[in-house]
Amino acid sequence: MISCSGEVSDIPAGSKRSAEELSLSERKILSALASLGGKATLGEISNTVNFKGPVQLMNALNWLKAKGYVRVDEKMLRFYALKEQGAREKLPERVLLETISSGDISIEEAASKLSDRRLIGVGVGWLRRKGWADLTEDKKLHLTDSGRKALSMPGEDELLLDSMLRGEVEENVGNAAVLKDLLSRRDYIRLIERMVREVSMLPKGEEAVRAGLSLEEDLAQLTPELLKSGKWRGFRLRPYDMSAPVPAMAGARLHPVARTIRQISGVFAEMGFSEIEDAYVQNTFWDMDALFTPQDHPARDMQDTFYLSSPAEIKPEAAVARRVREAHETGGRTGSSGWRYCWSASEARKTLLRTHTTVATIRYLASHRKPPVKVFSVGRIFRREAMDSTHLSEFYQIEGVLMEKGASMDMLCSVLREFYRKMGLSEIRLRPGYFPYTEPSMEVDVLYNGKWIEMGGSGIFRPEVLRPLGIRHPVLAWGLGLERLVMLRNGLTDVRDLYISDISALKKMPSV
Amino acid sequence: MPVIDIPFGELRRLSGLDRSIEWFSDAIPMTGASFEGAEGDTMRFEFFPNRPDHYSVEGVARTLRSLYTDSPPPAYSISGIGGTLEVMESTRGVRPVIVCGIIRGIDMGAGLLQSMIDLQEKLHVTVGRRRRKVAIGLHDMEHVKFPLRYAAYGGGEYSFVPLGMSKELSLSGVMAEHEKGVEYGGILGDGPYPLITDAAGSVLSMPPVINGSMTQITEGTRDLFIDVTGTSRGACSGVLNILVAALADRGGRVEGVTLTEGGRSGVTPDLNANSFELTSSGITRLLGVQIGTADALSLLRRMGHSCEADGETIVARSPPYRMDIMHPVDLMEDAAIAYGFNRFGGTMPREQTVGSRLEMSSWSDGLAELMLGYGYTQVVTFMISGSTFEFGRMSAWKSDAVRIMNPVLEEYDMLRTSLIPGMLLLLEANKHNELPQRIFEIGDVHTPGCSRHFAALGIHPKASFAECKSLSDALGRDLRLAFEYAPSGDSRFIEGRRLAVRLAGEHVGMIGELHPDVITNFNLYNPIAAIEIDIQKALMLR
Repeated sequence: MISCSGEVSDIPAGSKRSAEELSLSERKILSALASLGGKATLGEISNTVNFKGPVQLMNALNWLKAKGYVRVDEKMLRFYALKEQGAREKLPERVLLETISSGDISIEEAASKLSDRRLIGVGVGWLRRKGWADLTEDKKLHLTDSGRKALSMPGEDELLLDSMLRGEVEENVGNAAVLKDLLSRRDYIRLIERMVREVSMLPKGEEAVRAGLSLEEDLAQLTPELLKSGKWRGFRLRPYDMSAPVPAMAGARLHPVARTIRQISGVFAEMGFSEIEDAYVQNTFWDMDALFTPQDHPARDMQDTFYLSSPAEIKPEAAVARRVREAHETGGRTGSSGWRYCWSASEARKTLLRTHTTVATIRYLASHRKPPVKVFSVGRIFRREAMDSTHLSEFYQIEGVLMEKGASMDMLCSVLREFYRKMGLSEIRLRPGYFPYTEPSMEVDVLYNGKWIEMGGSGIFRPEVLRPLGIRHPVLAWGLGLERLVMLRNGLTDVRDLYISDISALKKMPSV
Repeated sequence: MPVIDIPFGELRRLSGLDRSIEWFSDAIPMTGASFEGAEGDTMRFEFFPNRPDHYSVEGVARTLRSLYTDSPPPAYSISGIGGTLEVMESTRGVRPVIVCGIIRGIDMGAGLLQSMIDLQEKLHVTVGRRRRKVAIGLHDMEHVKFPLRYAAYGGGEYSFVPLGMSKELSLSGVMAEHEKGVEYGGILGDGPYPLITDAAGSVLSMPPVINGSMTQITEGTRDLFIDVTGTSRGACSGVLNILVAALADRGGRVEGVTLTEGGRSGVTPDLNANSFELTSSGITRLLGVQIGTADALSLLRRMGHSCEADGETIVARSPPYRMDIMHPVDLMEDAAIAYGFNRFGGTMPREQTVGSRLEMSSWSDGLAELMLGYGYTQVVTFMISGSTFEFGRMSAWKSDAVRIMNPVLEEYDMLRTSLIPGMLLLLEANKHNELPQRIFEIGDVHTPGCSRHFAALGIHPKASFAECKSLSDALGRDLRLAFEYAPSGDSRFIEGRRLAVRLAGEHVGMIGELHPDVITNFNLYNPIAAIEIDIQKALMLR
């Protein structure tokens, strides 16, 4: 039924509608109602208009009612039917009437003419009440003048009983008293109370009738047959209620995380950066030590980082490890005082799930030491955190580095500003931050709906990081959050919704 | 990172800045912090671990005063020696480092006592690595009789009344019965235990566990003795200097303590500045904005460094409470902070480079587009998985894996070896949604080497082998991959409804109808057609 608008929506919008907006069924009902004098029961309308079924009539009627063309009132009607369907014996007074038509007889004698002698009291009572007979002085039944007339003319009650042979009889002003009497006689008829709907024309309906109602066939759905044959010309193409709700549509789509990664990659590629990737399984040497993170740094605790039992160990290359050790212990030849502690080689062999993608960029730089280097990666990283609405133990980091001869803090800020501008966030704020491996270090905030939202960190790699790897030029670096960006853009408040997704919600994610 | 409560009134008074709460909540983040909100007259900031001197209102006020008023950087020095402490050799293997200081004429009332206790606690947790590396003792000097002594004893060799208790306990008694003994006992193990005692033999402190009750500080305390013990001389000295500077800012007079050890002796606190040399052209290069020598001097002074220029060269002496200055680059960052981070951003990269994406990334984008066209929705699931899901629920399909030593939840103990288990968990979480559900994922798995995989699942009452075969045929055709099929014994799938996918004679994946055991192990009750392909391998063999 979706093709005909009237049947799918609830209440049409707008109050002023012309008769042209009435469906064929609606127009048929109005026209029938007019012919029935502007007021009729549902049954009467149904007898006048030919509908496929009661549902079609009710739908159309409800629409007429909703549109203000008719009023529908419910009222209780009384119907009567024979007690024993089909059985219609003569009333006892009729039997007695026929018996006395040939002469006066005693009550005793009359009783013998009845099928059941016990009916004699009732029969005589009604004979006298109807005035068909009276009693002579010697107690005999005597036919009266009206009794004589009645011989050839059935009474009103008998006519009603006869008509009940054909079907129920509705009570009306004319027959109410007689029916009441019949009902009181208990053996003949029963009362059926029934709710019926009565439809009355409203002024708007009368107006529509006066304006003329076309009873031409309407067309809801065009079909190939109608189009090919040209038969559609013989029909009226019914206008739909175009404000009515239509079925919801949702389709397969990219995951918002994947879509955002695609966009970010495009932005960096436009800005001259090349994509890189590296392993998730790393040793602490590259993930921490090479990034000048001291071995007693809290980030290296079992609390915060996933260490691995298999593979259990990855040895760093000896020459690089020696220079990194010097940087940690004394600063070596980096111009730094170092952390001043005893560096442990076995601590650096431990394996872990990378805690940042900075490990990917530092390893890339170790083998690409000549400028220019402009690379990025968007990859999964791991932190040992219990999952809640704002924390995950694995999430994405947007990583990038830029090495060129004149690279500076000013340039780093420009690149980040440009990146977020291209991502649709035009206002960013850079704040002093801290990371063991960058100096200066900056926190990156973006302005969203009037609030500063922390997006990640950035900075220039420290000499203690670069010198041991033989890098002589400044390297600008950043590691930015992805999930928060995705959540902002998709209006999500629980980060778990991204990874434990509701599939039907995914199919309705805005494509922004 | 520590979150510090800063009382607005104290901050205004100590900084001398007659500014609003809003001004401070904007200005403090620009010195290196995150504003966490204000409640009444208390502002809350998260400070970074490089500036433990900012872990109390005194340090924050000091930084703002230098930065926003013309007052010169404060100079801290000791006025005389207030006492002696002898370090015994027995402490060397136990807790080798001790530094001390004395503050006289301080008023611990009006919130200072609480501020100091808070600062002490924040320093313990951060720089102190939960007291293992650094622990602080603050003592009322009223009952202390110099000279003091720092020595180590066995568990039964000494007893004293620890803070918070009224009875005397032996050292092993403190470890066993005192709340702090239980909490920090692990640092000392079974002894010997270090003690600071005075000339009368009374116990000031059993570091890093608990002080003696004799020297408990109160709001009435006027003279303070501070001990800082630990494993790192640099960290202990830095922490002592932070405390001394804060108390000096509050009007205290600093006195030194002579420490003797063997034949050697020295005085702490060491309030001498660290000197670094740098040039304004070096600052200009790093920051990318023109900074002259005069500008550089002004910027550094506003950050609390006293400095002089000798031609191009600037000699900067950083204050003793700054624990983070280890290289001239740290001073350059300070210059940038004083300059204002929000003023940067005028230089784009100059060198021309051509950007690109990895072949795998762009190729995967194409694959994803095909899958959308076939009506599959993309999902992203976790890489951390568990043997229970990977092997148990998948019906005994075994493979080597990357194993996590310290998982958050015991059952999530490895990296996924296949995309299918995580996707089945997702379907399990989506049982309330109507069928059919068709999903795909492109992600990395470890077997135990890392490889990029692609998988798709279709679940609905009529899902069948034909569905995944149609899909793999279509992918083969649309991606120009000449897939071949071969019989497979993979028990995750129904026998007779599973095929191995091969490319150039090598196994690259599987298609089939998942086995009823697998389906029901994930509490699902509709047939599932599945495909999983090692696309990294497929791309290589193509």
